[in-house]
Amino acid sequence: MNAISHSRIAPNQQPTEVTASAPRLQAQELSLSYAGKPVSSDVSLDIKDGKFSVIIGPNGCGKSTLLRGLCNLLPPSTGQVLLDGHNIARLPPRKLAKEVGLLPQSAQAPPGITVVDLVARGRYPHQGPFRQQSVEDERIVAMSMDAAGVSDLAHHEVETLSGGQRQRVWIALVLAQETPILLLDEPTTYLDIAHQLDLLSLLRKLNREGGRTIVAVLHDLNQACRYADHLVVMKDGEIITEGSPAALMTSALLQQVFGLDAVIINDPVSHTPLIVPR
Amino acid sequence: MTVAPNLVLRWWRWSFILARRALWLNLILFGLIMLGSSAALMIGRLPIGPYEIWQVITGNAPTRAIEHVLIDIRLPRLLVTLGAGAALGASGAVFQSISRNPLGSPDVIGFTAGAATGALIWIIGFGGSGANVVIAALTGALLTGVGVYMLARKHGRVSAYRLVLTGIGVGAVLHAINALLLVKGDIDVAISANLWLAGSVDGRDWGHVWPLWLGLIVLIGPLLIGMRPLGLIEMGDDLAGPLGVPVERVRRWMLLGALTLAALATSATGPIAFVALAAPQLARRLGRSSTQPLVGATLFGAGLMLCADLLTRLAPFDLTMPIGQVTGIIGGGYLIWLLTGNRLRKTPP
Repeated sequence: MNAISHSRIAPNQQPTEVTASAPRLQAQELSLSYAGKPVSSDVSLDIKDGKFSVIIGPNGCGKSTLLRGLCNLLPPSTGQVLLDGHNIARLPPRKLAKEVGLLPQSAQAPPGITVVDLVARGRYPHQGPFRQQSVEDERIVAMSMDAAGVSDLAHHEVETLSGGQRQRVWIALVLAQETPILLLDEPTTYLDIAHQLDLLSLLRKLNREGGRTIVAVLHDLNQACRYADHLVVMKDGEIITEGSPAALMTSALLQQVFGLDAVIINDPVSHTPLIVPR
Repeated sequence: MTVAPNLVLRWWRWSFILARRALWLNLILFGLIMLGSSAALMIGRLPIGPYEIWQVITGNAPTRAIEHVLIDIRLPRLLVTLGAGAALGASGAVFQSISRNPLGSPDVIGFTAGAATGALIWIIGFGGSGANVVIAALTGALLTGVGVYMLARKHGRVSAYRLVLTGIGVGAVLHAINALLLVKGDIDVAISANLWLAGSVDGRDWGHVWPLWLGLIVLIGPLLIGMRPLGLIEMGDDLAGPLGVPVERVRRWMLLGALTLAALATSATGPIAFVALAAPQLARRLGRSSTQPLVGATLFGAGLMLCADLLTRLAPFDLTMPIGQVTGIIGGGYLIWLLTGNRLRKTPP
């Protein structure tokens, strides 16, 4: 994975406001609506570079909507998202797609497609009508399948794979996109517990060894505490608090955000907070 | 395991992917179309041999009659047949990709009905005929398309199922209007309108050929380029957007291009059933393609229309069957055979 290099965006215009320590991706007073209904308002969030951030919160609190806003899939009603100081709504789509990738909750594989052909579609932002598959593309597709552990399945049809294998194929697709920042919307849904942990370990490896910034929406609080460097806690479209899991997780917070009565103990394996409902 | 290896052509900084199986399929189809086209030029009440065709091409036609039959009657008819089939096939491939539905062809989602409404209003309401019917049908189809698109839009985007459902609804209304026009119109005019509605390539001249082929030549390139991002949109807007596809813009322009092709075809021949529905499916299944094959669908469309035309002309009974009905019988029959048997898409583990 180390071989996959990440080039920073080459700004062709003067950045509006960038300080030396400014994170690459920032949401500024972002208001998002979905299907005409306002979901979140005035959300400001800095995505920590090179960290594994996890967004948690109750159902319908706007986690997925925020993720969609961060990659301009959902244009904001007010506010803006900045990438290296540039408003992403004004970046050419392909240029943005070389920097920020998203694995959505639902994606359909075309019937009959093989794994390698599906993963190759992740190269789209690097390609063009007359540059459909370069040697470089093939190399990166092979590397991405390797990193996601699906190389052996390369010529299998996606439809014939198990849920866990299929999710790894989608991960390989977004890896092939080669974006320094990777957003994942509930990547562990529909997987059994062993495959959930496999996937999270894979994401951690990509973060630690590949140097990618990762933002994931997760449902399982214990998994979030175990894998996240940085937790973002949301409720009713607002960010309640953010910080490291150890500093953040308290019984009071769980009561406030989830209405959950729980004690927090030390996870004997990973030494991160472990939530035990009462 | 079916491995369908792609052929990647590379030259300088350019690279092109060609699916090997689809490539062979297309070459064979093209050859068959060429053979069928030669036959279509030769057969008829005045049989013309290959040597005589060659003489006409090189400018020394043996008789004026042969030159007239070939250049003014059979060649325009052949070109309208091929062009309409190609346009419908290409249009169907785009529509099926946008609607993510093998039934999402322009005749199912109301555009053909819209073309008919335009033509009927012109024929019955204004007593129009000839080349003006072409323009009226084109206008009808384009207005219907824009109308369906606007009605299907919600929160700035058009979802596949809304497009299909809205199209079916609008199509049903237009069909009712068409029937009403036929009933209310003068009986003689209604008969000529009914003839148009049957779909035919009889008596087509160069005035029918030019708009159709011009549209094909201009649009096929952009549509071919647009098929790649459209293939990504097929996997979901949420996946395509972050991959750098301007989803709504691609969808809008591809829809307009496909609509124009379907409208051009319908205005030249009248409504032709099933070609836009069957051609992309045949190409996709026989080519075992995981994307909507535009070139294959175009060739299959042309081939299906040519077959239908040859059948109508070779039919043993002395009955001029309208080509629109014949395509329905061939295309529909073959599609049912494909779907019920699940013959071609085996997916071994």
